[in-house]
This record gives sequence, structure tokens and C-alpha cells, in this order.
Amino acid sequence: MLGGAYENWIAALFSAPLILLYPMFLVVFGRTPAVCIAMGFLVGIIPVILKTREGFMDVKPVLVNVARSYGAGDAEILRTVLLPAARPAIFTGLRLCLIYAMINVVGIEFLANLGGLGFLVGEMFDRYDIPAMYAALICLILTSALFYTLTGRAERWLGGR
Amino acid sequence: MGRHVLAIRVATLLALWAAWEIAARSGVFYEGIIPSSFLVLRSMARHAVDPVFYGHMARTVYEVLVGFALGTIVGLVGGILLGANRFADTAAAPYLHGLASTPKIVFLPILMLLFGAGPGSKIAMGAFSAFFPLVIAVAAGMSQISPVHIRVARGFNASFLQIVRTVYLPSLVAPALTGMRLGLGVAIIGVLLAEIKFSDRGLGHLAIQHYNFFRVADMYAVLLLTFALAVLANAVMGQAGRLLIRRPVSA
Repeated sequence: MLGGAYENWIAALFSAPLILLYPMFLVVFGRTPAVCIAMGFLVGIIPVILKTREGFMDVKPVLVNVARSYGAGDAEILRTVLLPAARPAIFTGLRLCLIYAMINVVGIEFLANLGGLGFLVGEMFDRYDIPAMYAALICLILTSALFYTLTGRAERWLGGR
Repeated sequence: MGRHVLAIRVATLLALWAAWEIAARSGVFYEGIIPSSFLVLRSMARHAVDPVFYGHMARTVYEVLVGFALGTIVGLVGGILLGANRFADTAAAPYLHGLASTPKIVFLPILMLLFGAGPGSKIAMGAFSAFFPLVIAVAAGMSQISPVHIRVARGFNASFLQIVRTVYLPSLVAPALTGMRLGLGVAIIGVLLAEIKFSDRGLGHLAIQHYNFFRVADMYAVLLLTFALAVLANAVMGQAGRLLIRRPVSA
């Protein structure tokens, strides 16, 4: 029921460009990396909630019933049935979370000059040092590709057990 | 059930509003950070009757729509071509996924060099952002199509374009819509960020202008109106998608 009440709201939040709130975070946290962390957390948690819920809802009731008739407790059902069955959906959520967190963190770095690779790209552009800007850009692309590969590895590793 | 859901929603809304108001009046935070909700509402009303605001809004809507449309078309075509060719798909996948998870905003300097500081670079930003979710969703959707359908079409001697029209497109409606919803979201983010960074018009520019002059209530008003606009656009997309899926494209 709580899900029914909040799902649309969370979905709506997901489509709202929350990054526009960054000035508020700047005022609350000051000019520290905490702004990026808070912002990344805020936008990253939304797809994870949505997708995990979706994954749990799509688990066939038969699977849960079988586990229950074998005398599995709630915690056991969560560990042995729900989580493995919802794994693809959860990882879709995690991947979206990663993308959105990256967009927002780098976006803020770029806009508010907080340091980090996003800042470096903007700074080099401002100095019109275009080769250095491309170098920073490539570093950034490699970083995000690395994160992306790691999530894929983690998923395969969890699935291989 | 329906009534309980409504009750929970109303209660949450009231609690959030009360918390905001208390935080605004308690003086715990520096006065400027959290203005009273009444100030924000009054500012929203003032913006709603201000023609200048609509000028900013029109610019942002224009940039998002054109950028999103461009990104969607290119993404759809690219996704179909990649999905139809397993070899190209495998070859391009690492680049595509690597770039897709890269925040597109860092390409803004390049786009500004290419398209100038006006709306051109914002449109390019929106198109660039919208392209990736769509191309990936469509290419993945293509691999879900049952090979039987394609073989039947080939057996009837259908040309590539005919297969695209009668087999690919109808089975791609659902994945393409998912990709487009994600794409619209990131296109809006991209355009707004680009406006914040460097622009003379647009909602992002307006919000940051208010922030720079420390008109915090005005800033919140613009932000709320922008969120409302984004949520509305997403809802329209969802509704359109539901209509399309209910009535599958008949070929």
C-alpha cells in the first residue's frame, strides 16, 4: 500500500531534473565534495528503489509459495528466492543509478568549480587549452566505462554462484 | 485501498509542508536557505503572470523538443541498424556503453565550439543526451525479436525496408518508449545544465540568475515550475506510449 501511495511520486521525481537543486546543496553543505555526494545519493537512490520494487513485484508467487511450503522463513525467502529472482531488475536500477549519479556529480563539478574531472574539463576549456580538455574528457570517459564494467562484473559474479 | 492511498499521500504532503515551514521559521538554517513556503508560492504566482518567464520557458521547451526529436530519430535508426547486424553491434557495444554512462555535460565545451553559445549548443546537448538511452534500448529490443518473424518475412521475400516497417518497428514500440522516456529525462537535464553554464535565456539560466542575486524564494519558484514541466512532459510521454501499445501499429 505504501508502494501504491509513493510509486508515482518517486517516478515523477525520477523525471524531474533534480540537479537544479544544487545551489541549495551548495548553501547547506558549503563548497565541499559533500555537495556532490549528497546530490549523487539523492538522484541515484531513486532508480534503485523503483527497479528493485519492480523486480520484487515480478517474482512469480509460485516461487515464494514453494519456498514457504518447505518451511522457509521471511529472511530465508528474501535471500534465496526474492533477491536472486529480482537480480536483473536490481542491476538495471544500479546501472541507472550509476549513470545518473555520474551525470549529477560531474555536472556539479563542471558548473560549480568544485574540483574533480568535471571541473578540469571546464577549466581547460576556459583557458582555451583544447588538447588538455580532450585529455580530461578521455579520462572521464574511461572512468565511467570502468564503473560500468565493474557493475557488469559484479552482476556476473553474483549470478555465477 | 484507494482511499487509504489518498490518505497517506495527503498526510505525507502535509507533513513535508509542515516540516518545511518549521525549518523556515525555526532559524536553525540561515534565513536565506529555506524561505517560507508562502514566499515561494507568491513568487510562483508572480512568475506565472510574467511574460518574461514565458520567454525563458519557450526557449527551454524549444531546445528540449528539438534536441530530443533529433536524438530520438538518430537513436532509432542507429539502434535498428546495430540490432540488425550482430557483428556491428558486438563491435560497437563497448564504446556505446562506455559513452552512455559518461556524463554528457562534459562535452558541452566541444558542442559550444561546434555550434556556438546560442541555442544550437543546447539543442546538440539535448540530442546527444537523448541518443544513447534510445540506441541501447532499441538495439537490445532488436535482439529480443523472435528470429522466426524475421525468417517468415524473408521467406515472403520482404526487402530490408519492408522488414523494418512490418517486423522491427511494431516489436520495437515498447523498448523504444522506455528508451525515449529515459532520453527525455536526460535531454532535459542536459539542456538545463547547458543553460546554467552559459546562456542568456532559458529556465536554467533564470534559476541561476535568481541564485546569483540571492533571490532564493524566486529560485525555488522557478525550480518548482521547471520540475512541474518535466513531470508533465514525462506523463504525456507515458500516456502516448500507453495508447501506442494498446493499439499496436498495424502494417
